[in-house]
Amino acid sequence: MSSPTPRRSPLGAIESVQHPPQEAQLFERPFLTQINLRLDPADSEALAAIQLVLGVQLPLTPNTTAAGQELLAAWLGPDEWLLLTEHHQPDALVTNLQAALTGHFASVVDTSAGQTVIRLSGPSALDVLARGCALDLHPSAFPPGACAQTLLARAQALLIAVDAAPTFDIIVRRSFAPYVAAWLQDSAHQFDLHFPTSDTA
Amino acid sequence: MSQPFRLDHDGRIHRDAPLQFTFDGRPIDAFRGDTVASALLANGVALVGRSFKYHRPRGIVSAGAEDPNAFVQLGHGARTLPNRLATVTPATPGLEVRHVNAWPSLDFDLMSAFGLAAPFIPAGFYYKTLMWPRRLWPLYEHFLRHAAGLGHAPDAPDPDRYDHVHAHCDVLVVGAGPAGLAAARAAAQSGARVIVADEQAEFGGGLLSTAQRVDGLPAPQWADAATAELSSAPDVTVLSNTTAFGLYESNLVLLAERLHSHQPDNAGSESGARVWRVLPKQVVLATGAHERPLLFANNDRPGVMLAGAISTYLNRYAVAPGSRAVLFTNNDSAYRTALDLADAGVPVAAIADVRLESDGDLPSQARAQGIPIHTGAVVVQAHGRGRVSAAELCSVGGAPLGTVECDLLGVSGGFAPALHLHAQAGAPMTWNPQIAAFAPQPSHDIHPAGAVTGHLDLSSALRQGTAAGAAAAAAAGCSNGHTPAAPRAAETPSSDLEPYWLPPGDLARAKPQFVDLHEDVTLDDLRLSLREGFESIEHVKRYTTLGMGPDQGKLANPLATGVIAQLLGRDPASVGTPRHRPAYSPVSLGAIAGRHIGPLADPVRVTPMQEWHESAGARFENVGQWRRAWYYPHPGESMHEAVARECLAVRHRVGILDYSTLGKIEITGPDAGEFLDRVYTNAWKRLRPGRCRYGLMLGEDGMIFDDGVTARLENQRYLMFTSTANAAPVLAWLEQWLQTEWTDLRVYLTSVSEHWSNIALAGPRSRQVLAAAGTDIPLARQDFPFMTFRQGHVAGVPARVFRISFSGELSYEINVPADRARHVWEALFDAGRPFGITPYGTETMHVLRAEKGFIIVGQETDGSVTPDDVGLGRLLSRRKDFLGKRSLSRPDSVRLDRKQLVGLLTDDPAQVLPEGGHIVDAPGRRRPLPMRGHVTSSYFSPVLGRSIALAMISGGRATLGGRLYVATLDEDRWLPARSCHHVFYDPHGARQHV
Repeated sequence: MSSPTPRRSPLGAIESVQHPPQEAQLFERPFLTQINLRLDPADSEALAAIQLVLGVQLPLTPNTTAAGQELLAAWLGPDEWLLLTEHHQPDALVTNLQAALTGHFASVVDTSAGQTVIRLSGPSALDVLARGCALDLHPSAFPPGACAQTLLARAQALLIAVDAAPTFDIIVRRSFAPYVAAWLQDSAHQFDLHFPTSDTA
Repeated sequence: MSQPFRLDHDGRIHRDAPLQFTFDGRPIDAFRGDTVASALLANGVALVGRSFKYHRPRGIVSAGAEDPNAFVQLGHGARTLPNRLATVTPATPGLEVRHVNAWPSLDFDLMSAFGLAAPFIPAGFYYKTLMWPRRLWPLYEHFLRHAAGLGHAPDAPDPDRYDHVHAHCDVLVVGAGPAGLAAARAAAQSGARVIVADEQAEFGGGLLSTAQRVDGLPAPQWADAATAELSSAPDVTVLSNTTAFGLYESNLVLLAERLHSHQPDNAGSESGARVWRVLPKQVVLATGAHERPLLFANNDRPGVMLAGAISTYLNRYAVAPGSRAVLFTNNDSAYRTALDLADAGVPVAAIADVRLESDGDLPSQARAQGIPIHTGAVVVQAHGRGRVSAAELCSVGGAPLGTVECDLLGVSGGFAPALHLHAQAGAPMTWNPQIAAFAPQPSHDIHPAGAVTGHLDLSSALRQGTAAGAAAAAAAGCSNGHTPAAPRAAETPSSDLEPYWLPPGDLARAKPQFVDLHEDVTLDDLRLSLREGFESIEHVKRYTTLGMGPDQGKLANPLATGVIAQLLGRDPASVGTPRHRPAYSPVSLGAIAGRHIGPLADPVRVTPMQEWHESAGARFENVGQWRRAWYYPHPGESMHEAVARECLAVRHRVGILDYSTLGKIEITGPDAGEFLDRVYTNAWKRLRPGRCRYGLMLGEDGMIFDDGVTARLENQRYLMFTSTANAAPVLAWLEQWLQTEWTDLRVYLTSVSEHWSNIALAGPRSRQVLAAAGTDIPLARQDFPFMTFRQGHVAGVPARVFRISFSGELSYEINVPADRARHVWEALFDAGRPFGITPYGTETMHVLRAEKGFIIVGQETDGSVTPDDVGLGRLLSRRKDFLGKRSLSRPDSVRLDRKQLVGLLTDDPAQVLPEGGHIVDAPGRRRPLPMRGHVTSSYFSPVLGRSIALAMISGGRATLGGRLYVATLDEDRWLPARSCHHVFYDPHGARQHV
């Protein structure tokens, strides 16, 4: 069910007036559906049921993602995943997943409003992130499809390597988003990257 | 004519790029490629500073990071930087350089009177003398601060940009001299990701000041080619002006890269410095060696230099640091300097060689050039005041050999490996008698190469470097089958050195002989330390301040080891060396802070209603990283007035509070009820879906850890609220038990703190406001009673509404998804206008809960408080086990005199007690005064029209109504009060049940 009330992102986007600036190298991807899913990876029946709903197999290799046509699943722990999509409304996806998992020990929790996604892309993306992330993000160590929960500057973040541009999705909790955005802007200062200002709220 | 000491040929300086900087305001002509030190020497500036304690004149000693004297102040005002070494600071146009440690001026230093008083201020003087009388300390301190200058701090915020970068590589090479360049090439050729760093502006190290050839090329040319090759390699990062200053656990290496600092045209635009946090798989330490000074009287006079540094200034910078030289050595290397001096046309008046024979290749060449060589001879004293004017020679047996005039006295006591990083890592090192110094042992991930191993000749540096680079790459898992060939250089055999620590016989008593030039530690100071029983080198260090300067005793410590060994008649290996600690050389505080300054110092967390609070004129308080609305003053209102208005609005009408910061954890699974039974003190399994319950969580010690309400959303789904500050610790605590102890429980936890915003409506009219805002939830008392939960919509937004209360009033806590919370907040506020709705902040929340005697974890509790202590013993279930239960029966947990929660009412109803104030039974001045407890919360209660306080009082519940006194900062002023039950308002809770 979609409420007529427009949603607001932590970085100022308003749902009804949002035009994602796809060509920018640093921008928020607001209002993605984000579902936290927990189940026992040994429960193959549950895994199969999930695959039917999502169209993608949950990644079982630590710190990897699996991308389907409409949805991306990121490994967060041995029994925990984050589902990211712009093609399904949160309520509908939660309902479908819960129905598929009836009788299984599992947890499906909507966290869409609790976090947001910042996309950073382009040749200087690694240099920007290296200023605040202690992980080795070199493509040999963190290729497209990799993900990791880590610290970015002084905030927790989930990093997802999207493609070889390189492009990263940075998922942060809502209340930390203004800090992370300010930090990214500052870190990107010498690379002439800026958050677009005109087409957000 | 400027630069009178500049040679007219050769060197690595760019004669087509002249530049000018200033030293103490005087213009200094230099060339690109100069360091500040080489330019000062080219201009005949002998005196660069005054010593730390005696303010003796000091000159440049070395050509690198080991210099104890060449500390200068760069720039001025906000951008000034103290403790920079002239020897590694590139000369740049317009650079402002100033001396440190002299007052009022370098040439006329009043403090040098200390030098005359030196016999009366030996090591330990300050500790022993300035301790008393205590009341004079401010006077001493004022004087000492003035005297003990180590440069000065900026007088305004630094506009430069300082940065941090994390980096990873297979092989980190520290030092880009012959061994380092060879290692970096070998590692890169093996396919490794390489970072190579050198503290100097140019790569090459010793290659830049030798006439030897590498692979048929002049050494400097080979260095350039190797550097160019590395710079163009794809996975090699080349960092010049970069000092590796610390090596920590897991081989984390910190590098300080000095950028374009202190050029006047560069303010604020680029980084001042960048700290690299490198996590290499393998480390090659090609850090070289530091030449060791020698002891003789007045060995600190300007003009006394390390012999190798003289060669560097001659060959690399085309500077003759003097016009007539004497050399004093115990090994062959100073003969190379003698030949370099002769080549440059600087007469060498004498070489004093400790050894009875010197017949190696280099001594033979020097002899052939007719340089006077005295074997079995030592320098025992330098003459001259502002600069050395002559050297007094003796035989090693003590027989005078006369005085030789000179303005340059080169010394070489052999070379001590620069094993600082190696030693910081705790890697093993051993005494190498061949070089009379400690040398590093390789470990599985640290590979020393070159002079740091004690092998000083070029050919072995290149061989070792190549081998270390290849071995490091292989150990890092990079091997492409390519075996790099070592660059070739001629072998230069040299004869052994003769360890020389103390002048012969009574000459060792001559004064002053400096062991540590920076800290003004003399041979006499070491003797005094040993005489007083401080024999361990660590004790000597602390007694004398040996090696405690910003140079970290790079020259002093290797010398001190031998000197102490000889004074004690022990083996130097058993004397050891003081612990090496970061930082290898000074790093500016700005670089360490990096970008964690100003608004980026720490995350500021805000709720979706932040902008609304700001436009409503809220004042904010920090709660951890959260910024929460504190109170909302109307124009002209004081905090007290605003809080009183907000409190009365909630008690009489309705208030609205942003309570989004509370922690929220969804607990799912068939065993969720059992899990709650174990972590909370009270019983949970029989809580019906749709109902809420307050719970207390204890640590294993039985002390209150957190509290909050948990609701049973569905049969197998609960929502737990935690306090704001404990949101993360509670989740970690619960996960820890599930993952490590209760792996059989089928329970999943998911934090939803940020997904759900929490808006509290509180007050007798809150039901009407919620209805007016529009909701599909039936609100009648019987449909939605106290301590229940309903799901539905509020203002068109899906909502979970909880009838729970932290104010004691009729209250609804409305949880809505954070991305629509602002809309719901505004809808509730608009709907509440006719009912007099008032936004209230955390201060009013605190007053309201204190009126009700509700505790706040961390305010009433401090980690040593049990549930019974705060009157919540009824929440301790007897029928089940829970975390912390067993600790509650410890004798200490059941003492009758434990501090217990009580209320306090002051005799003067207007008097608000100081929070934290200590409480006694009877005031007085006698000491110790027995303490009964302390005030934990204290407010003026508007609804009661008087002050109230909560306190933790020893045995408090048994003595309710008793008189107590609260201390103030004025020890004669005591505030009388009586204890009472801790619930001040609506003790039966009628108001929240309506």
